[in-house]
Amino acid sequence: MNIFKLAYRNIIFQPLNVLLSLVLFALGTGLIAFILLLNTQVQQKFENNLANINLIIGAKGSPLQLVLCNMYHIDVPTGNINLKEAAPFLNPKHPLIKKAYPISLGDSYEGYRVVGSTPDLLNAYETKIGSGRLWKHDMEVVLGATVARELHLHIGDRFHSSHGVTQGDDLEHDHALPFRVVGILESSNSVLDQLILTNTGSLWLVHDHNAADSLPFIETTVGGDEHHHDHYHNHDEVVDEPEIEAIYAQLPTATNTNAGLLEHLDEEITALLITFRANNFKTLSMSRAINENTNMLAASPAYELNRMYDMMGSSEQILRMIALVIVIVSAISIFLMLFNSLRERTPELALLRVMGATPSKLFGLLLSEGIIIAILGSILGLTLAHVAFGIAANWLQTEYQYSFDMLVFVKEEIYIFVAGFIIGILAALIPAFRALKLDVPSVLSK
Amino acid sequence: MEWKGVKYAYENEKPISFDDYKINDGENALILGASGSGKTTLMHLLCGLLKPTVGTITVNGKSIEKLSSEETDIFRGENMGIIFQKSFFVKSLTVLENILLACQFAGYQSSKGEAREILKELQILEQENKYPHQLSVGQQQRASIARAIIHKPKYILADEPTAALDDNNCMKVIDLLLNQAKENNASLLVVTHDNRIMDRFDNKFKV
Repeated sequence: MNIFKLAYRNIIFQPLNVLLSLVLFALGTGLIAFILLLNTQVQQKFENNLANINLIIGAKGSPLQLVLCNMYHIDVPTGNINLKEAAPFLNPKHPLIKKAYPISLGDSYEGYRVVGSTPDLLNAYETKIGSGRLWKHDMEVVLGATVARELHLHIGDRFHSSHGVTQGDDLEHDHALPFRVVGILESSNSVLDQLILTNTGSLWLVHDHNAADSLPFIETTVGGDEHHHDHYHNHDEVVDEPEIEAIYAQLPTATNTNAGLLEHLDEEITALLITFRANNFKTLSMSRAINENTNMLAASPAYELNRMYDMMGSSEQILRMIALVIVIVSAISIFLMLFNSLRERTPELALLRVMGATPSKLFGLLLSEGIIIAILGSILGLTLAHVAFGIAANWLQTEYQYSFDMLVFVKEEIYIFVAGFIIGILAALIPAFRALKLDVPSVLSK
Repeated sequence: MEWKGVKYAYENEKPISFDDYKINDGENALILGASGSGKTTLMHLLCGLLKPTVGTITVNGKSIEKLSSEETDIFRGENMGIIFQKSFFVKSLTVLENILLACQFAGYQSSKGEAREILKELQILEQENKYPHQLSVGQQQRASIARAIIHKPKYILADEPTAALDDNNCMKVIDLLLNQAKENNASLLVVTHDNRIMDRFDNKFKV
């Protein structure tokens, strides 16, 4: 039985006395750790998805919205732009632009967005087809790894998308031809994991009702309930696999290059993601020119993200202050608890001295008690933070399809632990000094 | 154990002086005196909790007034077992753990078996895993005796061990203490004003 163990026994002997201090300490450190976890992982997600994109060109509106919508797919589009207007930036010989990736939004399936683009987009996020193949025709889709996993979709599956980019819009397209899964992407830990990619033309097709209605009817393989059967009863059902293949093969061929897009100048896209050849004053004046002279908006993702961090920063500051106050209150509570128990335990401490414990051992005993509460509190707090983060992650997952890992630890958590240790020592310091100076004979003569 | 020319003065009070006295190894002694005469002060001096203003106290060949505070604590832990009128325990530890704790501070290697042996002899073995507050006053006192002798100290100091006991229990406790002292080759010093136990001791020192 060493001093540390004795301290531990003293603490657990009257757990109710310690409970308040412990809970306060856990709340304080937990809140700090939670902010830390959320901050780190959210920033990481944002940064991972920058993918060398220097500029986004889209419809006029909020630049932050443009970035969040077209790069992170968590906000609604600002509108569409005409390909005619965007045409100069699609030119592969543009002197400033190295790469331009078209983005077309407007549809989703079970909360996951259907994004029309070119196969180039896969290169931007450094991923490739994991199984199956790339789309060759309109209405063929390639699923992000998360989408395939969460929705249990396989190659060959067919589904109807709904109009709108958020879950619950509940405006399922009543055109007959469903999207057909032809490939699944390798996981890239980027936003592509949670997207359903297709040819830009697919989105034009599903939104052109005349064209869509003239397509043959094919049964979906998922989500078909009685209602749908009745609704489409007048159609001739096609179920044979080679026949289906043949129907999709008759659809317009995918426009897999930017040059291909330039043949459809009367159509629209939602935005263009652009990588510059080099970031310089020319690119700066180009984006300024876009904002001043066109109906389009040019926004820099890095700049907009920093602006957003700044906005989050102030509310985070307030939360941090609250957490700090809780930690201080908990330190005071540990101090009061030890101080009170000291008064009650003077005979006991005198006894330890009589049995041969030196004053410094009593000092160590009280200090250990403070440290143990602080360590237990820190462990509890960090656990709490990770559980709370897990719950928050779950919510973020259903709301934005972004997944976070509650079991990822960041190195700053060690600092929280060390800080907890020091606070435990500080709170126990005065009671420990009282124990050091204990007047044993006068206690024993009472 | 021997003391010479010992005086002790509490703050703002006139000093109490004690006559010289010597107790040979293995001998027992009573320290007698009325309440307030200074016999508890003498006991605190003998176990090093107080330092004499003047004079020397030699215990087991060592002048304990010359030891530093830390050294005194360690010396006391190793060489003395102390029993108080009221029993003190570490509340959060069981009876057995309390007894083993004394060994640890005394630097004495003791097995659980040894501690159980003593508890058995004092007829409180069934209480070994209970917490001190669950014991009766009599059991508590026996437990504190067990704690005072577990590390085989050369001196057992008892402060008014019988004051709260009836005649029957008084004799039982004194016999127990004398027996334990004899078995462990220790000197028993009893500080008391209890006349009932006078005839059990040859050596008497009056404060």
